Amino acid sequence: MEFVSAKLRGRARAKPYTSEVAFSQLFDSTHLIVFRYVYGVLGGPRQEVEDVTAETFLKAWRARDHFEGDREAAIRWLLAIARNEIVDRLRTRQRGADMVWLEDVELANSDLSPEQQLIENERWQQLQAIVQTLSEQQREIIVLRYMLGWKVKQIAAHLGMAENTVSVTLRRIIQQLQTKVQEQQKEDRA
Amino acid sequence: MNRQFSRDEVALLRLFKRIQMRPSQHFYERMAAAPWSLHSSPANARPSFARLLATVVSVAVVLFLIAVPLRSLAQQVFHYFTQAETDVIENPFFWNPLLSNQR
Repeated sequence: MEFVSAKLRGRARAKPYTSEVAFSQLFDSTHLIVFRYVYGVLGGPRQEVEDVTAETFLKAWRARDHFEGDREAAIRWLLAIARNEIVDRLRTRQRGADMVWLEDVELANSDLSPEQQLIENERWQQLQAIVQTLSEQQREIIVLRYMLGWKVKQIAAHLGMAENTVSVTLRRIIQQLQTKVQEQQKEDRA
Repeated sequence: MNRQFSRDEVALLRLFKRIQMRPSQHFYERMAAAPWSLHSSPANARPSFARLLATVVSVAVVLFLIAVPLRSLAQQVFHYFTQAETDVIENPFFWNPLLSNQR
């Protein structure tokens, strides 16, 4: 009897999302992460982002019997499914019909002064212009670091890259942003 | 250089926190019909053990409540049709041998 219950416990740990209840809980706790990831890497529009997010969970549901691991592993698994879906979408997306990255999102009001908020809004537009020029992988690094708050080590492990490469990419993007801000300030003074 | 980088990182993190990114109501309505959603379709709905137990107990109580008056009624009906054969009726003209000897 003990052997049977131990075996059942082991099976539940190994394949934790086979039941409707468990998968529903996974969806509730991770759909915003997947949604933000897709939004960041795909860039928009919202309708397509929602389609990709929904498709990601449907594919995960169909393959749930093959997944083994904890919640963290489940998030990495979901993001990997989402990435494949995004690659397919980007492949079929018309060339030359590029849209502004995260064009249809809004910045919430913060406790900053109106002047500071204005500066931040400008910085946001500059960041959008910079991210527009990045490769998909660089964009993914930005999304994982700043939108999902992952650490460099986690990003490197997830993307199968060296930690140093991730750090260098992040530094380069921030430097580009700084340069843009300085250029803007010079233009404003002139 | 490093200090500047961390300052910029913090600023970026703050900026990204201000981005409002939530799926629309339409997305949630669509996901409510997903196969893992417990209320999506009757085929996917699996009653829990507690709900099953509560249903069985309720049915048993209702049956018991119905069964007691029904049994009583059935007994009355049965008794009505069988009383003529089973009930003992005193016969006033029963032959008594002692009385006949005295005569």
